[in-house]
Amino acid sequence: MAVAPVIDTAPGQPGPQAPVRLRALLVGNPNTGKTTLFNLLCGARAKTSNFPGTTTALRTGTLKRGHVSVEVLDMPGIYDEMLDTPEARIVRNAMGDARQKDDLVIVIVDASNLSRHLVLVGQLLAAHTRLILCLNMLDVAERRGLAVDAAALVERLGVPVVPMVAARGLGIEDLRRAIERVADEHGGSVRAASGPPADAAHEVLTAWARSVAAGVVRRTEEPGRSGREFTERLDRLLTHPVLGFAVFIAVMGGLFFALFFLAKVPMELIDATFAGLSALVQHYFPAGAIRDLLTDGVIGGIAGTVVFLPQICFLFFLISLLEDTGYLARAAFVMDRFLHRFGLPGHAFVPLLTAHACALPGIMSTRLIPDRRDRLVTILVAPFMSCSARLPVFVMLTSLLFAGYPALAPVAFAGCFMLGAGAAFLSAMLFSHTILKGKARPIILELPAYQVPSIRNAVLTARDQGLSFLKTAGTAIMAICVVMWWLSAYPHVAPPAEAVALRAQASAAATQPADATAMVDQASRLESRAQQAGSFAGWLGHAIQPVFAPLGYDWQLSAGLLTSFLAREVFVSTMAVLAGAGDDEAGVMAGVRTMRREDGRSVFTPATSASALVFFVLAMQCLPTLAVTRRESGSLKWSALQLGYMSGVAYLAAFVVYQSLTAMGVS
Amino acid sequence: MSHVRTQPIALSALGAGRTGRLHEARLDAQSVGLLRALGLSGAEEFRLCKAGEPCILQVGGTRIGVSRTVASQIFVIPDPPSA
Repeated sequence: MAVAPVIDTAPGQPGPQAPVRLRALLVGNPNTGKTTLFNLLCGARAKTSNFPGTTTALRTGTLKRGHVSVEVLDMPGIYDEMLDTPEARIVRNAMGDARQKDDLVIVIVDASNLSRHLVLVGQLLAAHTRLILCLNMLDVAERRGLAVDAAALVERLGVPVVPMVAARGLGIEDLRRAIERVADEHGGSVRAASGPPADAAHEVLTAWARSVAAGVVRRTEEPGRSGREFTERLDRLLTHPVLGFAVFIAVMGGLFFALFFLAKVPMELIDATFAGLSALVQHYFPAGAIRDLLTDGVIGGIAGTVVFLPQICFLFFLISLLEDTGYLARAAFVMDRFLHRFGLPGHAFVPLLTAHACALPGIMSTRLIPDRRDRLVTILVAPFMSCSARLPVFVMLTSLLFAGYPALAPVAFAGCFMLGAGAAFLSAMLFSHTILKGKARPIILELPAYQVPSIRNAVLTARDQGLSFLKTAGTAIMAICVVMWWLSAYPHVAPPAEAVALRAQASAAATQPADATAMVDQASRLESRAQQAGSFAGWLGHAIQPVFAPLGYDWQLSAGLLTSFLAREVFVSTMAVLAGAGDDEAGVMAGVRTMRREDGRSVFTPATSASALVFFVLAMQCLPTLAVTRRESGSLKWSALQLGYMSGVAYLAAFVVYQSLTAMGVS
Repeated sequence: MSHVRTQPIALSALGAGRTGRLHEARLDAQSVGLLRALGLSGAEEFRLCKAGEPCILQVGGTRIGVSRTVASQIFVIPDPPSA
């Protein structure tokens, strides 16, 4: 369809004009195409930051048109400016600021549901004269047999009205012209808006909105039953207790399969790129502390973060697509039945699911949860979900635990995921009865119309979230990697006699080249082991070992726990270094399996392996997650609680497992 | 058709396909405000699209889903069933 002619948006005065700078706030109900409109206006020039004084993300962008430069702020979607929700509070504060600065307000409404959307318009009109109304979704209105008279709406409201179908980019040029014109009229000729009285009661606003809508909306034909019946049939299926759950499992299974499948190649490419970069530094820099810092600390730290970027981006890309279709609102009801029993809202399923890939985006996506108590409970328990960073640790420990019974390893693997999820749900229940008392808010949701998702929106969302991840987590991970590198690299330890002898033997003229290479490798491993044992990290391992002795851990395992505090996956590489193992997986497993304590016993007895496995399922062991928790919860105390609680639960569970197995004679 | 005003009943007790108007929502202020902002009020007729868990209502151009717990605390005045 073509949108109706633009109303009241004629071009401004021609010719060169003085530059005009303006701030515009984009406001509207959820599900009105606000994000699509923002992306059309600002495109790739958008960036994400927090609302001042809050932890809610704000997208800002710039629209340049001739002499006019407009900073566009994408406000959170709200139904009513006066609702007591974090989003409404943000919009209220922003609107108060906008009134004082005489900013432009662009309000977007759904033309197919005008009387409801005009309530918010009425609230805004009461306080703002510099306002443009985007009459969006005219195609949906047409399909529902409704015609909206935009000219009559201009007459009634006294503000520019731009008819649009934002999903197809129709009307966007008219909107840009309207913005330019309003910018030129700064300080003068905007007509007085005609809205309801300021501070009108909701009933008065509703009556006003209904009266305006009645004057401008005309029914052209009776709505067809087929569209409604399709929606209702699909709703019944997707929210059905059994079938809806089956669809949910299929959709989420597909999502995660796609996620790992799509992310695999870019992750390998990133890995290879950083390995190449590291090799370049090794080649051009002389051996020494600077080179080690660059390769092991800086490049290693950046690589450790960036390698997860494809997963984060694809996850948000796929979630954005799902959200656009209207499915997520239905899925929230399917999960609400289950999650509500544990004090979690139905909205929590996306964050908890996302946390299986990585706790960072999982916690970031709790912004979908409207209630603060519900949001905090979800943030606190999300890291219990077994993330992809735990997988290498699970692989190593289950292989050690079931060395003689490989068929049992996958069972234990699945058990780890279930243990993590069980701990999350039980902890949510505990928090709901103690520090975050109360029940999850009963679910009330608008069910948006089913629609084809926007690839452009999904790409821009993925880009924003990816950048946000890099900014928040990347800096923390890199800093910690540098610190950990320093702890394990200093003080320098003299190479052990055995390593010196091996190198000497390798240099001897009679030695075959292949044998010489193997000897040098073995010497390097022995030197690494000696370095780890004598480094600050090794000292710390010895120092904290008594704390972990009741769990069956020696100083090497304790050092592994310590170094993996920054990121769990570091545990495997620390163990490999301490074992003096090779780089490949088989070499690591062989080396780790033969690790010995100072008294000659194996480091990884069945009881110790089981205890360590349980510890890693339940422990926090991820400093970037704590940083994100602090940011999303708005307080350091929630990060501290999360760390203390998860570490306590992990320690206790690992203690029970080790002591029970030892008492049963399994050691 | 004569308009017979019936007694308020819980939304959870209403059958699918029936229409009615809101009488009272015995919920917290935030939930009441949200329902009102979504258009559910005494002045607006709704149609119950799906009963049970969840309960799905159509109010004007808006579809609202509420859990059964919420539906049991929303009291409505049903329109008389059409012949």
